[in-house]
Amino acid sequence: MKPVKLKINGEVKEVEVPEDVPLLWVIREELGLTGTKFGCGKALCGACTVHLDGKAVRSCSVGVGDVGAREVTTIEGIYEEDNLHPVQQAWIEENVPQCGYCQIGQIMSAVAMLSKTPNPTDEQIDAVMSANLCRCGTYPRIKRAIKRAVELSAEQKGGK
Amino acid sequence: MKRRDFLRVSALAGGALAVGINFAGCASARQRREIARVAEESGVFRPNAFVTVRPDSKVELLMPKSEMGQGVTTLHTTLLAEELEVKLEDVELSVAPASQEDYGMMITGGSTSTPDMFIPLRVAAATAREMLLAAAAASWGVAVSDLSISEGIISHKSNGKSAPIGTFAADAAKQDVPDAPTLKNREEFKILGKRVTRVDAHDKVTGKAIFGMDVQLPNMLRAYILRPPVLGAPATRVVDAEAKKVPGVVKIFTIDRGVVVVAEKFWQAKMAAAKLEVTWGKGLLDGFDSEQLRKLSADYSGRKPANAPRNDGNVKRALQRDDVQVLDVVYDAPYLSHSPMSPMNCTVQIDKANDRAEVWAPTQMQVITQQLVARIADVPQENVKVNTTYLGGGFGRRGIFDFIVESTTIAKEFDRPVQLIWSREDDTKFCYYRPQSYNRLIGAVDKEGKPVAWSHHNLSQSLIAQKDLVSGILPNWIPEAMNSMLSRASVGLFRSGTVPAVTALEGARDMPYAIPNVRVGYTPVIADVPVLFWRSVGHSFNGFVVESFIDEMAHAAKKDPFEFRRGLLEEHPRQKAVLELVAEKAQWGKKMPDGFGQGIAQHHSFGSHCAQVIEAGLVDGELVVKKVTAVIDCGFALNPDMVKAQIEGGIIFGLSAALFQEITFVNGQVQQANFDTYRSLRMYQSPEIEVHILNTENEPTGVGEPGLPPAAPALANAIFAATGLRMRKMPFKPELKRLMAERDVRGEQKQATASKEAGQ
Repeated sequence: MKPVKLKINGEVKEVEVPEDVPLLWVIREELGLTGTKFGCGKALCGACTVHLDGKAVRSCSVGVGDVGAREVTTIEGIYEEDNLHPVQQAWIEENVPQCGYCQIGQIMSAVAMLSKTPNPTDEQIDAVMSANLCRCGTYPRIKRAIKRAVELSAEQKGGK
Repeated sequence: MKRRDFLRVSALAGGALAVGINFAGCASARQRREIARVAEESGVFRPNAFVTVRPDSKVELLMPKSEMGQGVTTLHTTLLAEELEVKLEDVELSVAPASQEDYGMMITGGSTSTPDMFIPLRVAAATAREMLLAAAAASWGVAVSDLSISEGIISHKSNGKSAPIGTFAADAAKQDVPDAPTLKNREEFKILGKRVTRVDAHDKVTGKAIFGMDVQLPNMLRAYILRPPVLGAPATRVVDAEAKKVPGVVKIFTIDRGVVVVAEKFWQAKMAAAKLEVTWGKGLLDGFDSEQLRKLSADYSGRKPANAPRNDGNVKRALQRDDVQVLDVVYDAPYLSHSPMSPMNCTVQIDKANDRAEVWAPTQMQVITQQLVARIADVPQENVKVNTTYLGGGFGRRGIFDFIVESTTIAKEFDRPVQLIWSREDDTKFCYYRPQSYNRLIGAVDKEGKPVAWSHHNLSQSLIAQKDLVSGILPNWIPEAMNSMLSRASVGLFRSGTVPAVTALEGARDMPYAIPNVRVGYTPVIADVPVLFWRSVGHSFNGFVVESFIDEMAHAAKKDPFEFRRGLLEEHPRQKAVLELVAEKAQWGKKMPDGFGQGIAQHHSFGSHCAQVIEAGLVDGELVVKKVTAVIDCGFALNPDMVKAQIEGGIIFGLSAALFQEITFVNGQVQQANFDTYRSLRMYQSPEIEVHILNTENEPTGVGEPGLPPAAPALANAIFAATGLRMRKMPFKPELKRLMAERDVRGEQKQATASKEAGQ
C-alpha cells in the first residue's frame, strides 16, 4: 500500500490506507480529529462537512485517494484558541447549538458559503444550508446566526 | 471516599425527586464528620453529592442528568450559580458518575431534567452558601447577618473585609449543616429568568465537545455489527474467509443481534462486513406487516376497548339521540424512529483481572447502564464506572440499552477497549419505535352546535408491557412481558387484560374540553415490534387526534375553531390563556393569501401548556408551511431564550413527523433506511417560528417535549382551512396527495356526468 499524502489544516500528513477509504474516517481515526462527525455515510445529512480548497464537501463520500493536492480544512483548522471564527461567535451569540452534533457540519457549510457569498440572501442561505440536517430543529437560529456572522465579519474588517 | 455517607437527594425510580426532604434536614454527626474528612484529605468543601467548593474558589457541579440538547448543563449551572452567588464561569460542570445512592436512578427524560432539580439543586447550593458564610463569620469574628456573598466574594457590610469563597473551603467543612437553608426569592434572582448563553456552546462550535463516538482510548478496537434483514433472525451460516483477509480485522463472531466484526479501525470493520456471506434464519418479526396491523386494528376498533379509564355520562345514549349530528372517523399514526443525528454507539472496556469495567456511553440512563454492564461483564456493580458523553440527540432513543448490551457483550471478548458504531441504516431499521397508533373517534354535536359526546378508542402497543426482545436488554424494573402465549391470530393481537394504558392515553384521557359524555378507551396491541418513548410519547399522537377531532366538531357545529375550543375550556384557565394569547399574536382570522389557511391547536403535556397557530397552504400544488406562532406557559421560565429554542425544536421535530415520517414493515423488514427514505424537515422547508412565553408564577415545568404535540394538529387544521381536506393519517404529504388525487377523480367524474347530461 502506497501512503496517501494529505494536506490538512496547513500541515502535510501521510496515511497508510487504501485509496477508497472515506476521507471522514481518515480524518477521525487516522488523524484523530474528531470534530468532524459521522451521521449518515451517504452525503445526505452534512454532519461530516469539511472543505477541499475552501469548498464544502461531504467527507463521508469522498475517497481519500480522490483528494489529491487539494487542501483539506476541518473545524479544527478554521479558528485559533483565542480567536473564534465569526461564524462560531455568531453561533454562540444566537444560542444555536442544542445537541450540537450537526453543528460542526453546519458551521463548515456556512463558512464556505460566506467566503464565496459574503452577504447571502435568505434564498441563498436556504439553498446551501438545506444540505445540512438538524434533528434538534435549530434552523431558525442558524439563519439568524449566519446574518449575525455577516455583521461580525464587517465589524472586524472595519476595525482593522 | 465513601460516597454513601454524603447527604443526598432521594430519588424515585421514575426519575422524580422527593424534593429536598433528605437533603439537609438529617445531617447526622457522621455526615458532618464525613464532610470534614473530605476537606481534610483533599482541601475541598463538599457539603453534598452535587457541589464542591475548591480552595481556588472554583465550584464543581456534578449533574445527575444527560445533556442531549435540552440545555440541562446551562440550566443546572445557572441554578447553582444563582443560589450560591458565584459567577457562571466559575462553575465547572460534569455529568455525575452512576450512583444510585447519591442520585437515584439517574433518568433523563419526561422533560423533567430542570424542573426536578429546581429546588434540590438550589438547596444543595444554599447549604454550601450558608456554611461558607458561617465559616467566614467565625473566622472574622463577626455576625453572619452582616455578611453577604456576591460573584463568589464574601464581604462584610461595614468593616471593609472581603475574601473569595475558596478561602473558607476548609473551615466551611467544619460548620453545622443547616437544617433548612434559606432559598432566594424569585425577586432576588439575578440570572434565573434571564437569557444566559449556553455553557456548552463553545465546545459545540469548536468540535471539542466529546460525543460517544469521539471517545478515543489507547489501544481501542472498533466494532460493527452486520444485522439480519429481520429483527431477531439468527445467523445460521457465516462465510468469513474473505472478510478475515481485510487488514486490521481482529475477530469475527456471532452474537444474537448479528455478526460482529472487530477491527483496529471502523472503516476496516465496515469493509470486512461487506465481504461477509451470511445466511439468516427466521426472525422474530417474520411475517409482520404494519399495513396488515392497521387493517386488523380497524376491524377491532368497533369492539369494546380492553380498558376504558374515562367514562363520563353516557356516550352510547348521547350518540343515539336523533337530534345530533354524529361524526365517526379514524386517525392513524405510524411507527416512528427517533433518528438522532448521531447513530447509536458505545465504548466499553472490561478489566477481568481486576474485576472492573468502564463504559463511555451517550445514555439517558446511567444507573441502569451500570447495572447492565455489571451483569453482562460479570463484575460487581460498584466496579463499573459510567462516563456519560454528550448525546448526539436523544429524543428518547438513548433511554434504552440495546447498544450498551451489544458493546458490553462484544467487549467481553477482548482485553482492549472496544467502540461499537452503528450505521445510519441500522439506526433506522433497528430502532425502538414510537408505536403505530390507530384511533377511532366518534363524536356528536347537537342542533345548537354544542358537543354532546366524545368517544376515543386507541389501539396501539403498550410501552410498559413490551417483550424483552434480546435477553438482558430490559432492566429489572420493567415488568416481565406477559405475552408469550399469544398467537398471531387477529384477535390474539389484542390484549384484553389490564396492560397499563398510561402512555397510550396520555393527552387523550385528560382531553380538556367540557363535553358531558366522554369515553376514552384503550386496547393494547400485541406485536413484537420494539417500542419506546419518543419525544412527547403518547402526546405525540394523542395531541394530533384530540386537537384535530375537536376541530372537526367545531366545523360540524359551524363554529369558529378558536371560539369553539375557548367556550369549552372554562375549567382549564391555563389552557384557555395560551389559546387566547396565540390567537391574538397570530392574528387569528386574518385574511390569508389564496390557497392558504390558518389552523389552531393547544395541548397540555409535561406540566406545560402550549398553543400554536400554523399558516399553511398550497403553492403550485405543493404543501408549504409558512409560519408557526406558538405560546408556551411553562410556569416560571428559567431561561427564556432556551425555552424558545426548545419550543422551536419541538415544532420542527413534530412537523417532520407530520409531513414526512413513517416506519413501515413488510414481511418483518423495515422499509426505510437512511435520511432519504426517512425524511426530516430541512431548512428550506422550515417555517418562520415565533414563540411567545406566557410567564406565570407557577413552578417551572417541562419544555423539551410540550412544543411538539400541537404542531401536527395545527398543521392538519391549517390544511383543512386551506383545502377543505382533512388530514387523518400521518404523514400528511402523501395523504394530502392521495386526497387531492381522489378529489380530482371525483371532479372529473362529476364533470363527465355533467357534460354527458348536458349533451343529452
